[in-house]
Amino acid sequence: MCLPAMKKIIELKNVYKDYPQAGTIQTVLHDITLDILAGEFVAIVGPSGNGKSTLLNLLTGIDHPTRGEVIVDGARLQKMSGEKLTSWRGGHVGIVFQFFQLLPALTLLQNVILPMDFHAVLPKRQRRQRAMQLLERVGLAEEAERLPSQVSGGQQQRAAIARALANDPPLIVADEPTGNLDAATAASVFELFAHLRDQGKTLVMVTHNEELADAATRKLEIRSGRIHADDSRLSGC
Amino acid sequence: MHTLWNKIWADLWLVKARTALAISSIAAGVFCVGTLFGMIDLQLAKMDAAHRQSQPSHINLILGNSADNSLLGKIEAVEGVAGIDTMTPLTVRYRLPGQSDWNMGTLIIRPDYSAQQFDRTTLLAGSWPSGKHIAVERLSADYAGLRIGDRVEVETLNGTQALTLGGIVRHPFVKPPNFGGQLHFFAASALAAEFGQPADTFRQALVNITLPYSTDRVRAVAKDIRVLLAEHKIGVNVTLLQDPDKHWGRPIFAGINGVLQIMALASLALACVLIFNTLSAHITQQTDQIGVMKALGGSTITIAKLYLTETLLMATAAVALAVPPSLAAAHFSSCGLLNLFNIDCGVFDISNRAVAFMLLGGLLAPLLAALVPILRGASMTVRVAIASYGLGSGFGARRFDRWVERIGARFLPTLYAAALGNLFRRKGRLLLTQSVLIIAGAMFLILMSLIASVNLTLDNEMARSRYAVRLGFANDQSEQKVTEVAMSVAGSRRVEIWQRLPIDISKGDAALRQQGSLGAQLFALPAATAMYRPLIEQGRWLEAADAGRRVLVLSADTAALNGIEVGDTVDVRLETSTQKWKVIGFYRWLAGSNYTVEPVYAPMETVRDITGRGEAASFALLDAPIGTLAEEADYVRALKQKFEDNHIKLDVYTTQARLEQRRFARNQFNPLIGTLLGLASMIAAVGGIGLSGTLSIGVLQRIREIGVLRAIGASSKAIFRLFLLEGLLHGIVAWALSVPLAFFAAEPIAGELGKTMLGMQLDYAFDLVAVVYWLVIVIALSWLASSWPAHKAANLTIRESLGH
Repeated sequence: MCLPAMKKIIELKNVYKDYPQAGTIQTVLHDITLDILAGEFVAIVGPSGNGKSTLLNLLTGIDHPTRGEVIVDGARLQKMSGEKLTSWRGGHVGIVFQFFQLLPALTLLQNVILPMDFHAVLPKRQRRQRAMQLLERVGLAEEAERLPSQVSGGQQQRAAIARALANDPPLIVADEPTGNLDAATAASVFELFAHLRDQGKTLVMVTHNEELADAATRKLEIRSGRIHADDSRLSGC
Repeated sequence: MHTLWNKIWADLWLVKARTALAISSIAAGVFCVGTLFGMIDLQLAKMDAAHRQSQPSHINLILGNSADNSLLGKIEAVEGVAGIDTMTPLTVRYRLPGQSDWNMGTLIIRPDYSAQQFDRTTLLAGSWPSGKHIAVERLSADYAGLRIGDRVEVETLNGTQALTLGGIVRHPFVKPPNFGGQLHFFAASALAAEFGQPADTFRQALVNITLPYSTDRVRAVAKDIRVLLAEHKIGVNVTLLQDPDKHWGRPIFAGINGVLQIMALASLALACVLIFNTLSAHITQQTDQIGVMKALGGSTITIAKLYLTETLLMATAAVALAVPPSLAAAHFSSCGLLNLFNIDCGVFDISNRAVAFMLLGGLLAPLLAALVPILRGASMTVRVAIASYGLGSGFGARRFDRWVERIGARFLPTLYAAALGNLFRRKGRLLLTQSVLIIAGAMFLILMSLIASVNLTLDNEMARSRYAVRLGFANDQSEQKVTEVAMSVAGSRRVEIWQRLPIDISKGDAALRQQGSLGAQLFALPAATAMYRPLIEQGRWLEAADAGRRVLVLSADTAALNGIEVGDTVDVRLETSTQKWKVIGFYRWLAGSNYTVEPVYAPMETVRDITGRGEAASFALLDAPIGTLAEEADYVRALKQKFEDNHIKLDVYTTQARLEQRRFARNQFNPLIGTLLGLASMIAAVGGIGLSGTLSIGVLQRIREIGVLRAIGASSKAIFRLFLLEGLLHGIVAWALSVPLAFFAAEPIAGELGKTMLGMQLDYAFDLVAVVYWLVIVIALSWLASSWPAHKAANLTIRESLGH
């Protein structure tokens, strides 16, 4: 299957990432050069501790490369200040965390509205409606007024996905989104991601879930901080 | 901010303990500020208002003998005199309804109650004295339980008479009976003759000078009046000068108020320390939420505003809670203190300044205290905020940490070694929690040392007074007769006679300014006196060889005030003659500037040579083997009876029994020391609240650690003991640090407190027993503070803990 000619949404150019550790410098990512096209569904796989999450953090601007360049949706992330990155992230990236990270004191609906309040692009009176629509999409309309502690892990993760879509970002980044879920629940989340992929969102995901990885259009294997394999089922067109 | 209002509300409501802790901390500080500043403002304002209302005399002369009313015109003619009023205080023996014993009291006679000019007596209930109807001063009425209509038996020249209480009055210048003052009654001039007071005479002159008022002018006019009176053979025992606008008690409050203000601000500062601590922990606990909000697009300013709003809401609640009780406390506390000065505090009043301070301090101070942890938290990067590595790290990096770990490993079981390590894990928070407890401890120990120093000072002063009783006579008596009567009382071992005379001292052309608020008097005593020796600060005390020499011993404070050195010569006017005298020494005056006459000591032999007043006795100092207050009371009763039987009238103001005087002197400090101890207790309570908060937050932060401990076999009891021990260690460390701090700070601080608040220069004593008391208190406080958090920790399940 081939993708029509699409723009690059993510570009990594000769990216290195070092961390100081116990008096020495540990290089976590070595010379990563990588392009991701808009609409791709990329699964990043590999053994634990090999740099997968670090790579994800670089794509969201949560972390900066030691050397090299990271360009996401046209923005050179390492050149942006912390506040600018925060603002940019709100409108361009939706993040789904492994541990859901819903704010415990807010209802599911309020958690979904929160990014819209931060980004403040959508008029106030429309935010609640949009949040309800998103929760409907993930099958949680009836749980909208519940607190995270009152719903299951799977429901929390689906709410987190709805939250990630709040400002309709072009890029969704997920770090082990099914890592804390049982198989059945993971399957329901997997369906959601497949649906997002069909809607043309660019998805980049770290996962140990074989099924989820197989559903991706591209599988990147990271070992010892390097791209060990880059299996794009859409390449070669 | 729309959705974030829900987060703000949830943060405040869902963790009620933390919110309550923060609100109560701020409220405690605001309460202290409002109460203390309110007290200060209300006291001073009401004191001065009451003072002005009484039309205070500028010069109040208490005469040594009665003066004829014909002198009034001459006194009024003295340059600078604007007006004169008179009063006659008499010492009387009275018996209250149902009593068998006679007591000494004061009867004041005023010529015309409806036309008083100065130092006005105010009618509170009933009617003015007339005929055989007398009035009673309100403090006396309260103390003795007297009411209008009661009959009081008094001894007159012709036997006893029952006089009816027709009114209750307030007089601006009475010593409260609680502090050793006599009961005061008021009578019309028609009764004067019954008590041997000649008609148309007076014993107290109340004089006002022409404006403008100045202390130099009033002193000069007072001196001129004394000269005039001396020419008419009228002696002046006491000269009291009053500022027309400021109550005479102001200096007493000045020192106290300064200290109270500092304490109020200190309590607010301590509350802010707690806020800092609490909010730091709150932010730490919400680190991952901050990270998520930032990942979702929340800016640093938005997040900072969120937590500042939470702080502001808590501060507002605290202010709302604290203001009403604080206003009430300020009013009622100041009423209590004003009552000591016989001032009616009137209707409920508030200090606007105190309200402003409470609002400003209560809202601004917590915001400022919260700013650092909030900004620190809000400006965290997403990566730092959401990173989570195991159960937490940080301890062990420094040499100190490893030393603590070695101590724990060597001396404590593993679990309790963990408690020791946990104590030092977050050093910043440890310091903040400790600081409140250390300050509370140091303050407690300093105050206990202040009390010990007061007691030591009074004991030392008593040791310098080798007499058991000092009898003062309303009029000078024959030395021989006094000695005979005194020695006839069982127990009397020795009698020494002193004389008291009015004195004017000047150096060059300038009259000496005295520290004593009632002026100075000459106390003439045998040069080789065996009965009394004050603490000599410079020079020397009187010696046998001084008999016949013109030498003086002055108070050190007066000497300093007037730039007098030992060896200087001063001009002394005694009765009508002025001569040069040499200053041979300075004594430390225990009473300072309190409401009392300042003694100037001189050899009686010399004074008698000059005045020709052979064997006059103003005082008799008696030595007797007295050990207890009860023995002293019996002895004094016997003496009074004997002297009354011999028709010698004692002066209630100058008759003193040593042990009773010590008790009255000590009583005067109790309200003040009680206030300070109350404040120390409040600070200790704040420290306890802070400790409880720190430990509760520690439980929350180490919740996963608790789960791991349980998973590897720690019982609920062990978990409970772990947190309890950590709390106790907090207390013990605070105790260990507060003791040396107090030890070094106590002497200068107690000395300063003694001078400013009590008007005394204290002999210092550090209270070692209080160190033990503080240890017991801090252990109890720590136990209480840690019980609840320890209980919470012990009741967490593994699932709850590890799932957090």
